[in-house]
Amino acid sequence: MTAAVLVGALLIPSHAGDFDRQIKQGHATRALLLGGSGEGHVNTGASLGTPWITATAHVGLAGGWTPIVEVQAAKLKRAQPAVGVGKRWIDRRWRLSGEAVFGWTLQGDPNPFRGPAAEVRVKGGRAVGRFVPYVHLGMRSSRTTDRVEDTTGAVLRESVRWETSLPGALGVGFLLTDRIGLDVALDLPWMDVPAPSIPGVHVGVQGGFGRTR
Amino acid sequence: MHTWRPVVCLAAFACGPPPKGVDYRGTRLAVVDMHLHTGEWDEIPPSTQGFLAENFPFPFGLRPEQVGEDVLTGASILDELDEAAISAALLFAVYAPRSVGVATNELVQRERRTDPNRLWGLASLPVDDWDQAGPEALEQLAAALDEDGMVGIKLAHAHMHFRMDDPAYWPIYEVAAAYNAPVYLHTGPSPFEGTRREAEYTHPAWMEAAVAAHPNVQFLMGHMGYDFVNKKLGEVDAAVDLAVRYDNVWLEPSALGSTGSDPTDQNLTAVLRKAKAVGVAAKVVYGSDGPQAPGFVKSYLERTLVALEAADYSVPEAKLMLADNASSLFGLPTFQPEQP
Repeated sequence: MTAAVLVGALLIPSHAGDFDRQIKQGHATRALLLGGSGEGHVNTGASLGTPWITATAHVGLAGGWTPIVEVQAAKLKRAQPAVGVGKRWIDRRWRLSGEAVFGWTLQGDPNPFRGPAAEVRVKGGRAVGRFVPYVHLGMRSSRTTDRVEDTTGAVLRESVRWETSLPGALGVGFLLTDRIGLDVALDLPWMDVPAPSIPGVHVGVQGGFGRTR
Repeated sequence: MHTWRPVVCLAAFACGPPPKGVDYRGTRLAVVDMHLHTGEWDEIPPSTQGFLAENFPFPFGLRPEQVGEDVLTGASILDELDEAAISAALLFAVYAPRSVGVATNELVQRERRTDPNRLWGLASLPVDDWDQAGPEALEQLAAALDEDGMVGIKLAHAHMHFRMDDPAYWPIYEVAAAYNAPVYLHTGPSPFEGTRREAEYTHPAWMEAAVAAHPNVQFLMGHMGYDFVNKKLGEVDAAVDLAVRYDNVWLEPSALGSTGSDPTDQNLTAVLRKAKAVGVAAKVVYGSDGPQAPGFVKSYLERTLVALEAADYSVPEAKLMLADNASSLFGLPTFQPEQP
């Protein structure tokens, strides 16, 4: 059984040439993992992992511009909803794109953090047949206000706290069909630098629809 | 246990504990950490849980219950001591339900039995409703001190809500004298919710009447009056002054030199310099106030060694502070460093 699955997986890339055609470069998996949806494409993705769960939607516009809506959640205790825009910079066999999103950090007890956030990230990688090896690197800054209260509830000290994080991921996507793909990745976010962070993993699925040329 | 530690160990291919002891100015010195906390996560108030969770590596701070339970056990504390090459430690009982929570004498006794040759305990007592419940609380304290390995008393007026100068609580010191049990006192304003921050509960000078009235009791000025709310030296001078004027006053600079409590990275050095400048460097006792988070015990010791050097402590002074004072005060064995 296992051998059959492995053989099957090895055979699939033998048809990979089809996915090198220009009209397939806007595939949802490539768009979401490498950035920059094709014009007229609507691509959506979701991932399930530890600690991160994510959902995202991209809309491809002319010139490689891509409006983005996304939400990331860690252990269902920290949510990071955001909207933003991406731009494809390089789109040949290698693709390089940038994204900037603005949103909110919502973290609950016992260590609450609630405030606005901004994140910039670079996505890069290349199409290798049906495979899409990729790397994501980013920088996120969030702001909250801490309060120290006495026993009567009077505020003794109020201070603004900034949290800087360096999100990152290293993974590989796989194009299942013209419109659906998967990815698996190692999540390497360095949250609240310089405090230590533990790597995570996720499995994602991507789907898209819209014009294909 | 710490779920990330096996990964690190595999990567490093070697994880045996280092030989006990540290190098200071070319001399191996043993270390005793006289200030560690055991406990049960559910007995810690939410605000204090949050304070602890901030120090856990992401993402463990988001759901800190598991790590919190793990890090507070005797076995985990021994892991932290091994990692830091520390020979022994004291575990604190705490009765402060309105602020930092409760860790009973029984819990401390249970956890110290994980290795009774390396862990000892400080007993405490509840002080709420003192007029009615005081006599029974004192009996419980005495009973705890009758147990093997319970070698002192921990009090925190700010957390437990009783004044430092209130003679109604002096029977506690009489129990201390009867059992030859040193009394550790939290001094200085505390950042935890539910703590009293008035001088009567935090300022070391308010302890003077009790200190003077009980010359046979050894008092340790925990945190040396440091202001953890504003992260400044606070009333360190008052603590040092008591140590100068009273033979039975000792100084313990735990927690104030941590990355979270000392944004300047200079305060631990500053308090050690103050003690040395007035001739009481030999009355400083090492404690970390860990475990707080994995790695904190080791980190605090490393920062302390840097501060000792910066404050120009001699090897004999460092030897007293790092281990020998704790051994003599609490009747522990004299620990010897292991050679690498």
